[in-house]
Amino acid sequence: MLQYAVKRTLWMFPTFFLITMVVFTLINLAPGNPGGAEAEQQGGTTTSDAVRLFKQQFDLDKPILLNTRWALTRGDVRERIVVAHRLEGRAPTPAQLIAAKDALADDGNYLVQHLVGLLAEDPAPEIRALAADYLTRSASLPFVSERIGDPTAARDENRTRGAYNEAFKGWRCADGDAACLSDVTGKWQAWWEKERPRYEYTAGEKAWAFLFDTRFANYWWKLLHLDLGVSPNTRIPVLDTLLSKMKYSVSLSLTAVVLAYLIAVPLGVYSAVRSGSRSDTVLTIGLFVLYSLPTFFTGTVLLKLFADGDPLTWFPVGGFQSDAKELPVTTLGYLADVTWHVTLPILTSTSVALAALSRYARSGVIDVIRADYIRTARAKGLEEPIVIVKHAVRNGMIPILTLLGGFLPVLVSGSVVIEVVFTIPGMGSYLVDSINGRDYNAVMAVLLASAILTLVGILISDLSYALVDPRINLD
Amino acid sequence: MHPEAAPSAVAVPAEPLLRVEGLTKHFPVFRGFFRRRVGTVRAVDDVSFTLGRKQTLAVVGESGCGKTTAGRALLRLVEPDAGHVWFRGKNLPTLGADELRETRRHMQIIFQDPYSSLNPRHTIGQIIGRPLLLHGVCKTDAEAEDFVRALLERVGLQPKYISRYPHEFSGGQRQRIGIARAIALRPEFVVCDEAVSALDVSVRAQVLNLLMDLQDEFGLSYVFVTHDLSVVRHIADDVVVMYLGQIVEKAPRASMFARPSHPYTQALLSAAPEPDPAKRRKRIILSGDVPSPMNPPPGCRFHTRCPLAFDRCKIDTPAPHAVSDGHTVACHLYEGRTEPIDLAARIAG
Amino acid sequence: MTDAPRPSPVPAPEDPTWSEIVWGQFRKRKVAYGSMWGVVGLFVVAVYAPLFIAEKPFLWNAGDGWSSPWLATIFDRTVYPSGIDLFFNALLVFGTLLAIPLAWMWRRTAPLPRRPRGLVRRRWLTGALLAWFLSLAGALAADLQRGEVYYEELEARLEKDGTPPTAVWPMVRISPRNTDVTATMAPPSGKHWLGTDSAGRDVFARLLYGTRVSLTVGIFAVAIYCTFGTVVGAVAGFFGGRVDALLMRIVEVVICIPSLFLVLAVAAFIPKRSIFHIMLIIAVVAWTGPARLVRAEFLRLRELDFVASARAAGFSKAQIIFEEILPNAIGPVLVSATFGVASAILVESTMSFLGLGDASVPSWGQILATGRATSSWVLILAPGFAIFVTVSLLNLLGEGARDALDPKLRS
Repeated sequence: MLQYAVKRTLWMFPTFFLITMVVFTLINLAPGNPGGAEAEQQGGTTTSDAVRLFKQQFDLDKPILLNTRWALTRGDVRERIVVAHRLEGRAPTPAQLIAAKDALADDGNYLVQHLVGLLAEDPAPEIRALAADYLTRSASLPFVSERIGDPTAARDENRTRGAYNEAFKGWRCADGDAACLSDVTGKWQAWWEKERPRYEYTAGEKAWAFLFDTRFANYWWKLLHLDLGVSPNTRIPVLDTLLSKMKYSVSLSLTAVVLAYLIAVPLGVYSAVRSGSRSDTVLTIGLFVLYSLPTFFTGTVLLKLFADGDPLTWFPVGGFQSDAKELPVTTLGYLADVTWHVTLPILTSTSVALAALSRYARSGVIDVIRADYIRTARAKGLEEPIVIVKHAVRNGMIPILTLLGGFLPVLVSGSVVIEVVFTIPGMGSYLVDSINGRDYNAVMAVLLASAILTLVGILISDLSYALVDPRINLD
Repeated sequence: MHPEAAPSAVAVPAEPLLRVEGLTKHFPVFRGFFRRRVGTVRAVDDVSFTLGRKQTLAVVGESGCGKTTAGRALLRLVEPDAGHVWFRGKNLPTLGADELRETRRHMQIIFQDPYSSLNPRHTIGQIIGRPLLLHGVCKTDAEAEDFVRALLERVGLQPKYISRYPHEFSGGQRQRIGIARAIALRPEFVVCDEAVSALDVSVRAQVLNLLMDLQDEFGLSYVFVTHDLSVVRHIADDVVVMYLGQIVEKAPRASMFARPSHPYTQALLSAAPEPDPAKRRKRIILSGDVPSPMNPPPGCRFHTRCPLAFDRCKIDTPAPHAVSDGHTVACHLYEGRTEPIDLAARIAG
Repeated sequence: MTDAPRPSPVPAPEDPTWSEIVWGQFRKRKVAYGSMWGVVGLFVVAVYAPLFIAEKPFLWNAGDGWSSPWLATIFDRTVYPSGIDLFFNALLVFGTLLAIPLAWMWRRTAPLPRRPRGLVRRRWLTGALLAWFLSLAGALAADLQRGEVYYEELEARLEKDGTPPTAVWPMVRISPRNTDVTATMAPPSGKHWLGTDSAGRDVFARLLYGTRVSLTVGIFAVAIYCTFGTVVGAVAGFFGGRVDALLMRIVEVVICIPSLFLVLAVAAFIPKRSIFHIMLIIAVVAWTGPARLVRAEFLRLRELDFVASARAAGFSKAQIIFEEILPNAIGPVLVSATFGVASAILVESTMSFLGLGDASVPSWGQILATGRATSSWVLILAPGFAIFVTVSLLNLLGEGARDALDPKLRS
């Protein structure tokens, strides 16, 4: 059994990896890449420093999944410069222009060796001047993340690099002045002699770059360090926000599931035992109605009926707890306050789960009750309640257990609506807010968190199923 | 009379319709999380036989001896791992997809289970007719319909059944439909995979007789896979006995029943119910169970249950020894010997 | 001896096909059968909505001859900007025109034997569908934009002038898109049966036209993802091995992310969401259901002898998948599809409720959102009721279909 548990758990990781890949690709394919809005605000897709640094910070200058920039040739780079600056009589379309400029800005260090070559050997002086110009930026070292490892050391390193990068600022020529050009060329040549090994990539470095110098790889690296990025508007780390919100969602969902199971099982059994009677019919119809009502409708109606004054104001209009000044100080008081707030949301949530569950419970128990071994139990002379509970329920409940795993994603989904309707600051409303605020880091984080919860839920239900059903032979 | 004009006195043996050499099929067994290969089921191991025109070869054995797999391997419904199947001058396992499709119309199969061998969503007309259209035997739907009606009548069903669905028929009727489907393309041989085993005894006789009539009329050859010896007695020309994937005895029918030689064959025959009390044999009951085909015993695979096994049986796989015309036995006891050894007598005595 | 005149041969009664058996089983279940007619009724409401609520009169004569503004603008983009409306209006016009000939044809062919009858019926239906489709394409291509005459005002003006025109109006002279900023959030009245919303639009009209949106999203999204999911499931189930493992990994990935989250996330990245995008989004999330069902069926069916028989006859793999196995495997998909329509409608209304739907079409969820924001019972209960009725009918239909397809429940 332990072996099976370990194997099943290990199986989660490849799936999770695939999920991160899918989610990541999805988000990066969005029109207007993350942070792109802000980049555009700061002067469009030009090579201005502020934009470049911003992009670097969010890894937006790197390719998404696979990096082939190490395969660039000098001809490629020259072509880009020509197109970007409309030299040699070229008339590129706006899209081509932007693409060339972006490529020259983003490809950074990979351009260095080709730029140096162009600077030294290209016949056209304008090209050489432009090459020097681009070198001042491409040769600069990227900053390290201050969230990984020792922040002080990282800051020091970044200061050193900043100074290093500053030094290049003067090594360019505003116009094609021959004297300036030869001077600058000399400076770059001298620099190149020293720094050559860093920018001429070996096969190993190329392979590494192909797979790991990408947005996805950097994202995964940060993920492993639990760095989920920051929200661009508030600059607060996403992880912190997410964790603070998760507790609301999880507690609500868990309570709802537990309550739903506690009610649905007896209800289903009762319904199955009294199958065909009037109470069964009433119950079935009632549950069917509940099942067909959308969650947002039930929630809104309950809210209006019991909280909004139409006609009652028993419950608060929303939120998880009262405002700070009205919050009770004692633990008991706090609990009472929270309960008062969450009664309606939990009621909504439970009723939805209940409707679905009790139908399965009922049909599961009905199937079992008709089985031959139940007849045998009765024939043995066992009393009806024992027959029902000990035999029918135990066997009929097995399919319901498997449902638990599949239930978690549904409940998490449903939490979106409930949290929006009842203004609860949980994961669901965080998702909606992030979507409206174009905070893609947060969206990604929420998706991944919910995926993990789902995977865990499925794992638990698989393992409990294996425990409960003696027919399962694990190998 | 000129010498060349005289008819030749010696009959030249005709090339057999089907010649199987060394047919082998192993199934790998995967276990565990990483799907490691933990063993191999040697379902069919080095099986060889020939089939002549208008002949019926019965392949006999217990469940799990590999006879069904062998039958399906002939048609490449399972792909053989090794061996040759010579048919119409070609080796079937080596044929490419197009050639194989062309050849398929000359070899067909009738299945055991009448309830799963017909597509529940097709009418009888479609079941029998679609292969006709596929191979161009009929060019239009109307042509196919006429052909199918005639065929239905030939197998003893009413032509009006053509638009009916399989669920409306009994087991025996469904087998007739299966037979009609098999012979529609006028194949040269048909593999009958326990074709009558699922039928009631009375129906069984009717279907067998139908098969024999069709054989005469259309010149068919049958590879008849069965575990029922009474069926073998009824329709077989030659018999092959299989055990754990290998052939243990091969003989023409009369010889097989008159002088069963291999210990296993004798045990098998002794177990078959015999109505005539005068002819009843003494039951030979073998000890032990059939070993798993995943771990067949070394040497002669039967040695673990054979009352006459000796040392050599554990080491060497016996080669087929001829004991009379066309009758071979794969048993060490018959090396240099043609007289059958009476197993029952040996055990009693 | 002369032969007595022979009577024409009575064609033998034909035996029921699988479809006919299932249909018979379905009809016996009164509740499900009734729900089916309920859904048909919804469909009729959706198609014939302009007959009931429109802003142009059926007939108009202001002294200069008769005209029918209603008919003239039935394909006009200013009156009906959404493609969905054109879709249904084309159905309205051509469906009504062709209904009688089609019904007559259906009657006429009833006594024929199955094969020719099916052929004739198929030919007629194809013709009708083609006519409808061509008219829809034509209407979309023509992009008529000439409907800006507001006949109600014109009528009022002419009446004031003393030259009242003769006009035959539909029952409710309102359009779902016309805003009346003077009367926002009006309570129900004679003019606005359910009042107006926060932009001054008539709620009843939006409710009725919302049926079009819901049905379109439901049916098209389901059609798309059922087809796609079936193909994927068939390939995975038939070929097994690595292909199956790969496809199932992908399915797992999609399943692991809660569906609504995924829907919202994908919706977020498409800035200008049209109803078509919403259908695609729902399809992207829901295709795994049919895929797993079909795969399970294929894994079971491919071991059966009739498949081996087809191989022995020389049919290609594609032929076996589509002609032999698939007809046996689609039963569960039909059931799933029916429930899927209900589920898609719920998802679409949830998206609209959260403000992430298509704002340019009247959607029940969006009405409810306004109701919540303005705390108005009418705006909450009316669309809620509409959604409830639609989803219930579809669920009952689905349950009936499931029972009808279950061979163990044959009565």
